Amino acid sequence: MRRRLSYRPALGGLVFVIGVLVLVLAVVWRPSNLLIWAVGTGVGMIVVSGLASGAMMMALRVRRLVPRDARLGQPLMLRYEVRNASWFWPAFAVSIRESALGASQGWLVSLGPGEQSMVERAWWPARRGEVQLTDVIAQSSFPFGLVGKRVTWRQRATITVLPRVVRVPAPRLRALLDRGPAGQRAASRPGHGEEFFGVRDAPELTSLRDVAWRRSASREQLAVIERASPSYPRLRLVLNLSEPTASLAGRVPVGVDARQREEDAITMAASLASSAVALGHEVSLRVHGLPCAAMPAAGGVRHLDRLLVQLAKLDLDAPRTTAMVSGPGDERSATVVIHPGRIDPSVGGPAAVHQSAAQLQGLASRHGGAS
Amino acid sequence: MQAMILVTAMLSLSAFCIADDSFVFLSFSLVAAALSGVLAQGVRPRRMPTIVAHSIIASLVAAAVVSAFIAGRPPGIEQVGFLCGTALVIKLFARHRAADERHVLALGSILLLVAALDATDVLAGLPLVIGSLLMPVCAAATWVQASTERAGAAHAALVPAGSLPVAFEPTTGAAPMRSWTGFAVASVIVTAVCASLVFLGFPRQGLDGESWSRTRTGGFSLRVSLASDERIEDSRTEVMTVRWIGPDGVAIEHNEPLHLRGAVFDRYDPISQSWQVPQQPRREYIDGAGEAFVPFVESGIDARFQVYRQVVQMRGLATNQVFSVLAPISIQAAEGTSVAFDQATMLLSGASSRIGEFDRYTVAVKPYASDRDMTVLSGGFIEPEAVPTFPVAGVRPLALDLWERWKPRGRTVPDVDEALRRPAARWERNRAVATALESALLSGEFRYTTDLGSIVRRRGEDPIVNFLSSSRQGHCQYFASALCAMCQSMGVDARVVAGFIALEYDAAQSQYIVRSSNAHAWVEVRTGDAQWTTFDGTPPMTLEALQAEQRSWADGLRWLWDPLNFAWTRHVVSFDVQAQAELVDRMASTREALARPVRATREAVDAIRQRLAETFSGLVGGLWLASIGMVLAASIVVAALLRVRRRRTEPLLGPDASPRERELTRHYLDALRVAHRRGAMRRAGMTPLDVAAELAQRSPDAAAHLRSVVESFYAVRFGGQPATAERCSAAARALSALQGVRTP
Repeated sequence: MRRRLSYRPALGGLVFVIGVLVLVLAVVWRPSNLLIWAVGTGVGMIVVSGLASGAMMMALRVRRLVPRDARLGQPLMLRYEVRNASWFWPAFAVSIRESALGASQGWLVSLGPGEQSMVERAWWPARRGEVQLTDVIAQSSFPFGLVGKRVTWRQRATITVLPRVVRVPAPRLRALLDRGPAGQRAASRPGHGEEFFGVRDAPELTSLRDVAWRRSASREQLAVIERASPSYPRLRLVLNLSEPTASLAGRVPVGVDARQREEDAITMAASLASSAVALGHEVSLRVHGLPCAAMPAAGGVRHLDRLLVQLAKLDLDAPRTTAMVSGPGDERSATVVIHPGRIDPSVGGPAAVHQSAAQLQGLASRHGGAS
Repeated sequence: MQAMILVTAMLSLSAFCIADDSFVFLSFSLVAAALSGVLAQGVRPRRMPTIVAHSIIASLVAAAVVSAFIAGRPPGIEQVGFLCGTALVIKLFARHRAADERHVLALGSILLLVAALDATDVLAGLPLVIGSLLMPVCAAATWVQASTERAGAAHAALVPAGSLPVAFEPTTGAAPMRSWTGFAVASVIVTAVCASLVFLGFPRQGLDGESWSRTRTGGFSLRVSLASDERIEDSRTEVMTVRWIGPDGVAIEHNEPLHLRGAVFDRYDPISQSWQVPQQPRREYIDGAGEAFVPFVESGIDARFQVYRQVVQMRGLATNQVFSVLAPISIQAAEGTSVAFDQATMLLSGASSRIGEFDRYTVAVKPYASDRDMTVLSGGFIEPEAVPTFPVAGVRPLALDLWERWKPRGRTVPDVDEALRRPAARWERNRAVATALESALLSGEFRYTTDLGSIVRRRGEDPIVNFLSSSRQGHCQYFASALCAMCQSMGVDARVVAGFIALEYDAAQSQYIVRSSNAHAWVEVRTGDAQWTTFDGTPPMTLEALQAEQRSWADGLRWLWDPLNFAWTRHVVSFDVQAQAELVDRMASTREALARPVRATREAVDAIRQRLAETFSGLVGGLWLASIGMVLAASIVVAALLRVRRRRTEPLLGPDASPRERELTRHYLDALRVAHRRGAMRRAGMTPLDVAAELAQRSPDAAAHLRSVVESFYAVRFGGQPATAERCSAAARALSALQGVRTP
């Protein structure tokens, strides 16, 4: 963590210094001891400004707490641990901001000598993707705004801005999932489902219904049927970004931004994935047209996070490929293919449900339609 | 903080109003400011809308500009001050945001600067100094408030449309008020130190002439000007006290008011309508000699008879003038001071331009000095000038008219021709004319007044002519100017003298109290070869009546206030290049004084070293030295061990543990160390009783002793039991038993 101190002259400070010089001229023109005292007070204010501001800023220690991922459209609270290492000087009116994140700032009104506090600042990400944080800047013009002092700490970090997520109503999602060969299937582990998993020894009989009579007879030892664990429905998301943005621009209606359409497609994928995971579904992801590893189907929040990070990292400026991404086929899953522009039925197989990014608003509403 | 800003604003208003003698405005503004504190800053604040406040202020500024335009001259600094004061009071009622507080502070700063231009009184100076020291603290507070408001506004502006709002929450430490108080105190100290350093070190000139007159207080001035029609000083400030000690050494009241001379003017300038000082002073410089009187002339004056002493204690007026009754013959002044004695005018003053150097002095005077004494004091006979004339032609007819009416009847007065031929006749004529004209002025035809505002004066008319012909009223300077002018127009050697007249005698203290309102002007007429006689055309009864009229209960407290004012004037208002030089000398002498004990210490160390070298030389000395060294080393080792022992117990019991608790803790730690030596090592995660259990495998007896010590310690450390002597001794016994047990 490297620290750098810099000064920023302020117009108010220049005016004040000129005012003191004018006072000096006034004293020369019309000698008055009390006017000299006034000059001395002005000089004292400059000294206080230098002492207070300089000592205060030199004693500040600011450490950024590693932020979690941000989400597009939602504020991210960045937290900083601020410590005043001075034994004597308190710190006042210090703004703390990031060099990479624009004008938003955290505000520290006061921090006593030796004290430590937590400063928060809100940041509204403007776009999806990775944001590199480099410098944390503490700045203050205390006490009179004469000279701005700025201390910069080099603290590198990366924030991944996840794509925007809109809530897809459960009936709408079920309507999508019910199409195609999705449905119940047996998991490859014993459980309490209906499917047969195997037989096992039964040291103690629990239920006559579970007895595998034939196997028991052949072995002359009691065996019981073991049932498979039920598995949640699977959703296979296919994001078709194989068409370059420039090409897409000619196909979208006039006044619609092609890049925004692609972003909407990503948003739709993220929204479907989030809503499906919330309903307990397993979701897999394939992205056509961009170098992105296919994600196998899984459920849970961690998987969703990984999936959203994958979507967040999609670089729409990268060259597109037309080759279809090959992945493990899974016939027993609903497939939703999301297209930024016109729907291409050749992607995703015959049972796939195709969604256009233009349908994002309809998807989020309860009465939206699907093609 | 708002209260502090209000206090600072009130101090600014006070400093300006007192410096400008605007006590009516002071009263109104302070009451309004206090009212604003109640209304605008109370529990349920009722503030004036900003637009209303700004409209009123804009109207006031416009009115001032228009009136200045009509008058044809820019507004004076006082008008600017009044405008700022009024605007400040209005803004006090309309304090909504930090910007309003900053406006209040800016207006207060302007008021302080205006006050600094004119303030000479401590009553104005103290609020100015205190206000200027509080100003940085208030400015910093408003800066914090304003920047926090700005940060909040910027935060609100950054929230994207349709996004979730996030509250702006500024962070503060655990004790923000304590931090702020610390900063405020440090800020005041630093500002005061810087301001003092600048004040002491700022390059200055000596205070004289115009500069001096600005620093004056107490009514006395080195100018007698009739051009202004302002009301003259009628303050009751004590300027000085004068003990008048008769020839027998007893303080008495003189048989007539004491005319304490401070300045002499012999020429009238009709252009500036003021009197001018003599152009050829003949100064002698006399150095003060402490307790002894230093005569102004070496010999020739009989100091045995009719010598009075005036003991002057300055109170409210710091000046380098030495006030004295005519004719001073010697002075008792502090050693190191130097007095300038003008033989032509018999005036005394400080030889340096240092104001307030003579705060206490005694002058021996001969109020009834003979012509011979005066000649000696003057350094010999002074050839009289040609027949004096007065530059304003209109005065002579008026003087002749009065002379005709008031000239002595029944005796002949020498005419001008005879006066020119024969000096004695000249002096006789001078006396006769001056006496007659003085009588004319005292006759009642002329009225004394301090307020000249009602006097109508025609354009181009000289004020002396106006006084003698039409208005016939004025204050002492008019009476003195008229008398002197008439005398000079009739060929009489006359001059105007300014100073103080001592009228108020305090019988209990046996001293005269001279007040600011006792500043006076009179006339001296030459009545001998070197003799000058005092003529005072101002009606004395009027002066005494005026004095009695102005007495108030506050006079009883002036003894307390006026010395403070004097000290303020002497050390602050009139601090000049001489004072700076003195300060440098004093610092040099202080450094010398500080260096002296250092030098003495060094010499003492050298002497001791020499003595030690003599004592410890040879074999016996070496043995002594080695013994002392060993004792010293042993002491250091013991002290270090004690320190280590004490520090060992601190982590367990803290610094506030009693001696017995420390002793018990030492036993406990020692026991664990013995157990360690016996092979029962305390590893991570092991309690002391675990150690005892492990030790029990080797030696049950040793484990029992260890357990005993540990349990004693536990009882005190965690059980809340007192560390009694029995417990300590039991632990000590167990420890020694543990040490005595042999393990395989």
